[in-house]
Amino acid sequence: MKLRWLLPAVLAFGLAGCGSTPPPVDTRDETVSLVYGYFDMKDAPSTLEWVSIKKYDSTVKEGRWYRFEAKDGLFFHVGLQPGSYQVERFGGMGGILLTRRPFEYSFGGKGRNGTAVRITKPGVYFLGQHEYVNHAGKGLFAADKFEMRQANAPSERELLQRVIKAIEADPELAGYTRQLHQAKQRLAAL
Amino acid sequence: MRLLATLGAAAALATAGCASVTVSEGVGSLSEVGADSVVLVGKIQVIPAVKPEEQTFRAGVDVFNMRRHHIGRAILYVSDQPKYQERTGNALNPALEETFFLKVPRSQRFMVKGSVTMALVARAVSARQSVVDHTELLFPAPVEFDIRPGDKAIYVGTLRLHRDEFHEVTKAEIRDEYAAAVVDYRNKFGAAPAPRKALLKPLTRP
Repeated sequence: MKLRWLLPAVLAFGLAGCGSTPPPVDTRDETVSLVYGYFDMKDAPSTLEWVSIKKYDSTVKEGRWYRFEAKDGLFFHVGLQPGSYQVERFGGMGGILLTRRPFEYSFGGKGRNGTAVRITKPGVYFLGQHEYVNHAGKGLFAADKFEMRQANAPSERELLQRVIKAIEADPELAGYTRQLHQAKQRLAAL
Repeated sequence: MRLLATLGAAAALATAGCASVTVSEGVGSLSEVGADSVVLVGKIQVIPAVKPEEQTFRAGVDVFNMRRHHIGRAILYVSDQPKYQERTGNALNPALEETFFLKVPRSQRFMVKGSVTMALVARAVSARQSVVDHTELLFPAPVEFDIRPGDKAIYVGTLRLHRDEFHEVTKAEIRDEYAAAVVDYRNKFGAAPAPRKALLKPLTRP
């Protein structure tokens, strides 16, 4: 997992921002948290390659987004500041050959959704496991064609084990020892 | 009262909608209100107040100036059935924090969806897909207006909605500010008979 994907992306407009790569999360920053979650996209027309979560801050007009890379449904970030967050969008590539193209989905924007979390102090926060449920043909519009439903599997424990394994395996994440330690403490408590 | 017939073309607007919607933004004179309609008098407050800079509206070329329906206003869809609907053919579009005077057909006595748009942004993802990011502060609904035969105008109260940082309504209350509303009513319509008090009934969470 490349570090550049784990960095907070403060974008003027959603995910579309280009421009310069933001600086890495300071490994010595003791205010930030490890956040992770899981989306089962077996029923979706694309894979899951990224997840964008929004920080809700009424003092910032455009909000602040963090983009997570996703792998096999799992996504995590080692550097979220205290605040209120929830998944806003996610997406990935779908189709084959000439029909291959990016897909993007909205998790739902009517108040609080199933991934909402308040980070009050540095720690480990789980956004839950959700599955994409296809309602193709049910509605006329994209938003009517699927829902994200809470899933029972994989377990939080299993997902946290995968997070720990991914951090330990990635040299670019080797410096985030505090987050790794806290993840192991959380795992022991589960 | 200004009637619009179009939320349509700006498909982006409605995240969806394409059918035309009649929108009541406010009544200028009681002569605009026929026997088949009634004036709703009341106010919508959001705590903490929604600041214009919190709202984002970018829906492409806005030839119908749809933006004005969203910034600093609520959109209330009304129906003759007390069942949640994402949109209907009739909408009320009151300004927030101000006493409103809205014309509603007598038959449309249920507010089936109410919201304040916090963000409505249309974007292209690819040549085949565009997305609309639509974030709403959603009101408790449905709510019934107590419209009775003979009513010309009714006072429904101040709908005060408390929200959290996710724009989730955490508490809803109806406040009786009838005296102040009647002052506003008289200032607007002169010596017309005061509206009958018909406060919204206690709300339940959606």
